[in-house]
Amino acid sequence: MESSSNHMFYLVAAYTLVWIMVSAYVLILSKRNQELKDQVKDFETRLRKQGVSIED
Amino acid sequence: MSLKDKLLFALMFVVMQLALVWALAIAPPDKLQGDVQRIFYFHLGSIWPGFLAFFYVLYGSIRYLVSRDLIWDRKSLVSGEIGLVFCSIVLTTGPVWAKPTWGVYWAWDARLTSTLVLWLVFFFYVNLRNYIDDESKRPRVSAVLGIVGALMVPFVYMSTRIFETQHPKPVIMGDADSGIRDPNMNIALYLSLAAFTLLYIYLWRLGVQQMLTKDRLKKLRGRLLRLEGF
Repeated sequence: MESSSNHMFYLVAAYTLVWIMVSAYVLILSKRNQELKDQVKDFETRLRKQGVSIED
Repeated sequence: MSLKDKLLFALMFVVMQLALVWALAIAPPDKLQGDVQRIFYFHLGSIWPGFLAFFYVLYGSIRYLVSRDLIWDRKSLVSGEIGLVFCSIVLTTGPVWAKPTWGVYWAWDARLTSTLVLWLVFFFYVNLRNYIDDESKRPRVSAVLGIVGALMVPFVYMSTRIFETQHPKPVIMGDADSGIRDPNMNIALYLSLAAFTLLYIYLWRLGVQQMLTKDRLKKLRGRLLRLEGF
């Protein structure tokens, strides 16, 4: 086992990795969500202009 | 975001903070490993909800194959994607913990190798649909692969019992001599499990809503195509 002074480095590294991965996934989801919302809004506006109901 | 989602996020946030405090400050350091053992709480805390996510893929895939309702394909896909993220956490925190305790980052033992194979199967499961053009075939093939992947989970869990491994024996539902005995260590572990389970539920709800928006977008695009002829 390595000396305990090195342990803090590994502990910080592990928790940093956890938060990087969770944050990256949440960011990807949010970005995807925003893009989809924008596209839906755009399509709905164009359909309304054509005088078509946007309801399913 | 609905009120239910906001409340779920608030609860998840509070439990996650408590888990962090317990794991990093209140739980005592391990007698043998010292502070580095604190990695354990988030390492194990993330894989159990990961397994839960993969079991949901099994459930959703069976429901899809029985009913052919695409909503089950969408729900399974979202669950598989989150499971993959949690499995990635385990596969990266594990080696970081292994280095100071085992002296190496990786050992090709049954537990580590089977977890890596599980990760690869679900990586393929999540990305497979990009390579199948036939829309009727896509969810069917995904469902079969999802079932195969999820059925690997019991093997991954049992691998430390079946084989001699560098990886320690199970802490949860383990043998009489395994597990942790300090109450604060147990609280840290269960808080972490609860936090990641809540995170899974929150992300899953978000992902499913996104899938439904995607389906709506597809319908709108179809109608626009017919009208504008582009």
